[in-house]
Amino acid sequence: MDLGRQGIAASRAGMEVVGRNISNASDPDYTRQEIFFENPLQGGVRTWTVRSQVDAFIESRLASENQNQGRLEVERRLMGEVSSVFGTTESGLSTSMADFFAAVSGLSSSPESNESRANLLYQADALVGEFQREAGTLRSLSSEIGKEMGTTLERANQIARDIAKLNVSIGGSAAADGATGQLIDQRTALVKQLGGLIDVNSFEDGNGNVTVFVGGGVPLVEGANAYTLELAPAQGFDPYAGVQVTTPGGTKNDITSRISGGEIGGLMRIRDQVMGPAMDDLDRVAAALVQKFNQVHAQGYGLDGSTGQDFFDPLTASVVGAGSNTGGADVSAAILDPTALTLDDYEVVFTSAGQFDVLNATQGTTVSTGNAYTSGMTLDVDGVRLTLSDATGGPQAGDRYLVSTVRDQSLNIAAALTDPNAVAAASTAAGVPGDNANALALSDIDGTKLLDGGTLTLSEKVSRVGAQVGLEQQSVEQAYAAQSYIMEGLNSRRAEVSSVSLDEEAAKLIQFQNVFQASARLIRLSDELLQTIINMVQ
Amino acid sequence: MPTRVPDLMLKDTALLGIARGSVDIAKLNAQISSGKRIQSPADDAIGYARAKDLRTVLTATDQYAANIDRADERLSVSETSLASMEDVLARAKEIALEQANPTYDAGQRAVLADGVQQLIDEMVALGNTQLEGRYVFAGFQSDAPPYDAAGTYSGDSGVRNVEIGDGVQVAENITGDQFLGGAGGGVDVFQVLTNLRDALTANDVTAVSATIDPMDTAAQQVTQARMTVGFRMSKLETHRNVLDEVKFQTQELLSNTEDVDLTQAVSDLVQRRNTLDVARATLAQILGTGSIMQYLA
Repeated sequence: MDLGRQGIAASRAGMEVVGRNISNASDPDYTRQEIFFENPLQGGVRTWTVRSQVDAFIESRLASENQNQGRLEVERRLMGEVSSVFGTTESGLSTSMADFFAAVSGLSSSPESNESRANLLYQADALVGEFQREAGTLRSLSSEIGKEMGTTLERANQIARDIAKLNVSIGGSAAADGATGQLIDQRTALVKQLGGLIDVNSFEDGNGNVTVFVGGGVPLVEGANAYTLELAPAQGFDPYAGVQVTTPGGTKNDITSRISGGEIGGLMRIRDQVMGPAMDDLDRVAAALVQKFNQVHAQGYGLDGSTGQDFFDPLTASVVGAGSNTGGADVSAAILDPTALTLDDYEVVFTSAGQFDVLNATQGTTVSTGNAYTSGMTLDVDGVRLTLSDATGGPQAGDRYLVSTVRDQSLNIAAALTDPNAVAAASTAAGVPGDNANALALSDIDGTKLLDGGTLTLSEKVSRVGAQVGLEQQSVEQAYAAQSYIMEGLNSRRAEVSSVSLDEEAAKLIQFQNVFQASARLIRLSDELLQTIINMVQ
Repeated sequence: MPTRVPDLMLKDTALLGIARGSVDIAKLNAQISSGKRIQSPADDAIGYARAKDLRTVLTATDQYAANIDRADERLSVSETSLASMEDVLARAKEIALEQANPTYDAGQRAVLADGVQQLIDEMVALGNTQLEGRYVFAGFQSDAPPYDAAGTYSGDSGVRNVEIGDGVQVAENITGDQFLGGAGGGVDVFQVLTNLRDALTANDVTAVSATIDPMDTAAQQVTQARMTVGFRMSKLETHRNVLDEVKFQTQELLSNTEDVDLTQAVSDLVQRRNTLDVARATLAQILGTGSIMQYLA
């Protein structure tokens, strides 16, 4: 009779597992459970265990591929937006640039005509508008990326807290048993989800706790504790945030350079390695155009006799301090001679509180070293006058300042002339309406290799920028397509091992039902036998 | 081959197939309806950049063609008035040759002096030829008539070059001081005509004969100028043909780069749609079949 009792209990447990499997059959994160019975030597079912059917290798591959998946999804979405900034093959900056220089050529063909002058100003406005639109869209995209990083980190923090909570619930019981198995499933799914957001790796210790590291070695979840991910202040000259982990003790650990995967990795990569260079390149094109066009334009004469005029608003010099600066000095810059500008970026680097070097950051060369610092001093570098002074304090060793005549030019570019008669088409003198020599010189700018060390014209550079973004988009799309096949393969391998088959469960259900009925019959039979024996005695 | 095929796996595989098929169809549809193979740089980054470059070439080519048209108009107006100047000078020479003969009297010569004055006026008008309000023989001073009634030149010697190709320029004007004023070696045409008029007024036969040789030189100067203009016009014509060819080739390249191969795209579309239909039917079958569960009573 005891054998029967054991059989009933065992088949009940079996049916419970089947029931759980069936009710979770459509949850992709659920791991099917199977019951294993242990038969002691004396016969009968003594104990059983429930085990989740997991292939640890596939699970860990899935967790790491999920980081790529998260990164690529974000990269793909962003690249779609970034590349649309550069327009179709029939619009965008290269089109505006071509139209602008066609108008310059048109001016040289009829310098007397008010229409050709007005058309040039109109095309200049269109060109300026296109520069500003592309530069502005890229900048607002990158500030949106900053916001998105914030909310993504918030999501990651929520997940980390949930993992810590699950660590507590799962407690010390390493053995997966019934409902605990589902909690473990949940936790595994959360770790995977977290990997889709940021680089993580994790391991399970002997006590059933999962420890999660972020950025290759910085703990994020340890047992019941979850630390906080947050935006880290910019370190360089760009105002872009990084990522740091803050412990409850308030220690901040900057992990920006270690993040390459997950959505955060994708956001930062597109922002820093695609959009950053594209914005720099547009700035460089705008600055070269403004410098050269103004220089040639100023040499000519307008119909109204004006000369020495800027066609575009002149370049301005800007100075940015590095985010890591500790001193309180102020460095400012002004342009002395626009024609002497190299359009290179310069860095002022304080080697001590009293000394600084000036470097040409674009060329990677040193301009001057060991300059003695006194507050209020000036220093002239290639057409730019630097003024260095104490502001909220003096400089500190290691402080760096970026001096640029290029930065944000694509955003700041504007047409200075409004009067068509002031367009300087003539080169000889004032009052010669038919003179087109300066217009021809302006038109030559289009064919002059002004960029990339004298290897590319303005138009060539513009199309190069678009092509680079396009190539990046293409490679992201291809990687995304490849990744989706990898994920598909892994998911179906995981499903093969861990997902529920209703057919199997149906078969098991019948099997357990049969055992249950047989065991019940066994009890009844034993009972009848017992009755027979009792009756025999009476 | 998988050894277990759970329900979710079947459904996911079928769904993914449908999703991929739908994406392909949407893309082919966009290509066919726009006629363009390249919808975004992601489709073909190199082709995208190339199409943009080719369009820049087309824009420049169109502008050069416009420049040629305008230069051609100016040169042909110049040519027409140079032809008229040749006629005027021929008539003046006729008068000079005729009146160098002593048989005519002072009265007849006075009438002809008046005729020569008419010719001078005509020359001044021709020297002041304009197109769209611009005086074609005035050099850079194109906004004011270069000749006054006496034939005194107030223009300059500015030669205007126009771009008709990358690095190719052609001069689109000749200046009055050169071919009428005789600057740089030659005679002043107006001076010669004035001399003839004055000689006729003064009834001075010798002075009249003295104008014959310079009159020849004057006619040669104008003919020379007309030939120069003719050469430039034929240079423009040659270049126009070159530009037409460049434009044609560029459009051909552009079309090869970005236009969709319609036959290919449509047959791809049909094929993908068939595949998608099959995938859908399969999914319906899978979802409809259920499992052994439904056979348990």
